[in-house]
Amino acid sequence: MSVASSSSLRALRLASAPRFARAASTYQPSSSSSVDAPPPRARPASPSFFTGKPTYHDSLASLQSSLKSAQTSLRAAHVYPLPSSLPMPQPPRASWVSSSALSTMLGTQLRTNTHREVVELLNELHAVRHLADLAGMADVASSVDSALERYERPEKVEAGKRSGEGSRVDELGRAYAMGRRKESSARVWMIANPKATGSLDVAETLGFASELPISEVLVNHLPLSAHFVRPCDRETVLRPLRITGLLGAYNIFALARGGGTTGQAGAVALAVARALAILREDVGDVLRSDGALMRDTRMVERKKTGKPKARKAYTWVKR
Amino acid sequence: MSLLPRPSAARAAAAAAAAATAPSSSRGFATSSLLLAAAKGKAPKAPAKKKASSFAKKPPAAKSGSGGRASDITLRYVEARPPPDLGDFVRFHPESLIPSNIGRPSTFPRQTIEQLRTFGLPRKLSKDLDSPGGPTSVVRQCTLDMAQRLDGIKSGKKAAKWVLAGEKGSGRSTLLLQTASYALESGWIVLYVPHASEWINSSSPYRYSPSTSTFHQPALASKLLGQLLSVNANALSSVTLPKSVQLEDGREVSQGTNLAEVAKMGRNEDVAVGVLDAVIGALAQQSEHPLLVAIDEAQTLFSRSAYRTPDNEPVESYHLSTPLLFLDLIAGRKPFTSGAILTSLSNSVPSYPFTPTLSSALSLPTTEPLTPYTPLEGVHHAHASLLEKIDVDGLSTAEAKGLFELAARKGWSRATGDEGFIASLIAAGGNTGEFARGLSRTLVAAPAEL
Repeated sequence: MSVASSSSLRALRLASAPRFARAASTYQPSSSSSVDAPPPRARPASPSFFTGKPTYHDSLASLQSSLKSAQTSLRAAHVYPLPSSLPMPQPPRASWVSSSALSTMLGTQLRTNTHREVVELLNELHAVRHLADLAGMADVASSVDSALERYERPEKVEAGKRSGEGSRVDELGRAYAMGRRKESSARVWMIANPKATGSLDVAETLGFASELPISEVLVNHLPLSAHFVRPCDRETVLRPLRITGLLGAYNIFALARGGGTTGQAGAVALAVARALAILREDVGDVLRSDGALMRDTRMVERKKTGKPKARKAYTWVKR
Repeated sequence: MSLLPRPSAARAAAAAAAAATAPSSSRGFATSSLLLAAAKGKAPKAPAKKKASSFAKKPPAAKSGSGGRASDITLRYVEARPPPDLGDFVRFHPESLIPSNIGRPSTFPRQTIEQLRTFGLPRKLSKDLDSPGGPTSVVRQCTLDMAQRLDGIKSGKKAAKWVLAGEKGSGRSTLLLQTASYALESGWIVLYVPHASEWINSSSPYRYSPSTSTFHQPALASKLLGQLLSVNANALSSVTLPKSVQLEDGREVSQGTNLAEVAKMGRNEDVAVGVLDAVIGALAQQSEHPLLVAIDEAQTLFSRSAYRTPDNEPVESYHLSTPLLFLDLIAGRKPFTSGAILTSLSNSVPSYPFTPTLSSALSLPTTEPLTPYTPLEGVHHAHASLLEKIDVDGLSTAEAKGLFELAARKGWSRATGDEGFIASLIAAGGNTGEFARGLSRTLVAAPAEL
């Protein structure tokens, strides 16, 4: 007890004060030990009790410790880290719970950067788990599994999303998709080119370039070269087919509206990529890695007061 | 078929006639004042400029190949490399036009192209025609079809009047050039007009002639006669005038005169129009050498000219002597025994777009609807309806392959490999011009060789 208790202070004060002959005083001070001593407190379970976000720090610390232990086990088995000459094994696509659910779990409203850090840690654990699976170290894998369990999105939600209402091929074999870029929007229907079937065999018998399958592309009822005057806009539209090696495999009918030529080209390209992902399951990864399935969110920046344009400033005058 | 009456410019040029009968009226109405001022020597000479020394020495004109004109001073990137050797290409001779050569790139024979250069070559084809390696083109199905049609005429069919129609970039001008080259090598008498817009864009002097009630273009007539003589001298020497002709200055050219001699008289601009009339009329009537009149930018024959009467009334194309001469042949007002008039519409002349009259007469696809209330010009409509339309279609795969190879060899193609080929073909939608344009402007890099 480093601080003097109030009872001892009182005693000191009474001792130093002049004594009055108050034999008839009826005031009875209560006993010192029952009121002034603090209630007994339990020792906090974790050191992060005194931080502002105890649950968050605890969860992060447990994840980091499980990552460290898994890495140590893999290192002992000479599995981790892999030599740089070997390609890094890509783990299967992980889907973590949403940002809001994560915030609830960790007991604090996660900001973008914080959320990103958490997800990066989860992804590291996921990669280590995949590596442990490949190495056949089931115990390490199961320990990481138990650490990651509460953070993973349940499977059935993801499966349900895949077979959603708008992402089917209809009875005529057409896939429908929408795309947007800047102020433009486009709707695209894609169907398999009837001339592009089994061409590998045909080429042998009839010789090269007898009749190559050529995609017909109509934008607003005009041929591609008539609607898009610039060759680079035409290439933008055909890029999803080009990177997947499906030039000539599908015919495209697009309706584009709004914006200008390049905006409409970008919108049609996004819609073509989405329709292609509906028609074929194997091209989604290639399109995603190219960025063809990403909606380009760049929009025209607004003009600000005191400036002639969004960023341009008036000529600075010294006085 | 009733012959169309000769449209007269008399009403439109009544004031012109009155003015023209003035005593000192040997000169007509000044049109292009720059032209006449230059002729009189009034234009001030440009001050002699010091020849600027430049770092870039212009490369000498390519010795090999039949192209690379010495007068071309523009330094182009393609000229920075040695001229390509196109010896393995098919030579564009009449015997090369066989079905197995469809889709093969070919080079024009040097002599034929030089002869056609006398008439002038289309400016929009100058990228290929003036490039090192020489003028080239791809043998297409339509080339063979035109050759077959010409052979049919030569072997006895009636004279034909065709118009090449098709979308922008479909290859009509190149087809016209190929046909003129084929005809020249097959012994036809060829009159090739690469820019018919020069007839009506008021770039040559004109004067009203009361005798014919038309506006004469003497300089133009003289130029055409000179070109015709220079290219077809031998054939002209073997043809004679069927009957005597009275020229404007009072002279008479007797029947039986050698056409080459008659054409030489056309050097005098005063009589040039009458001489041209007589020569073309004589060539059209004879059947020993078939006559091919190949006219590009032919929509100008059926539209309003840029000339004006002294009353500032517009002058139509059929009021001018040169277009009228060929409209007479189209309409049948002049006999045309053996030969063909092959015209081609051009989308490359923005000053002279296709009028509703032309679109209606030839059933061309239009963006603006043609209603019964759309005003149509009667004479132009009647003339245009007499032409037989030939549609020039899009590229087939074999033709596209030939064009791709041609572009690669000439060095102005950026697309490489199968992927570049198919992507450019799909982007162009089968259009020849857009395919060639896409090849040279593609921004996609070739995939790395594995």
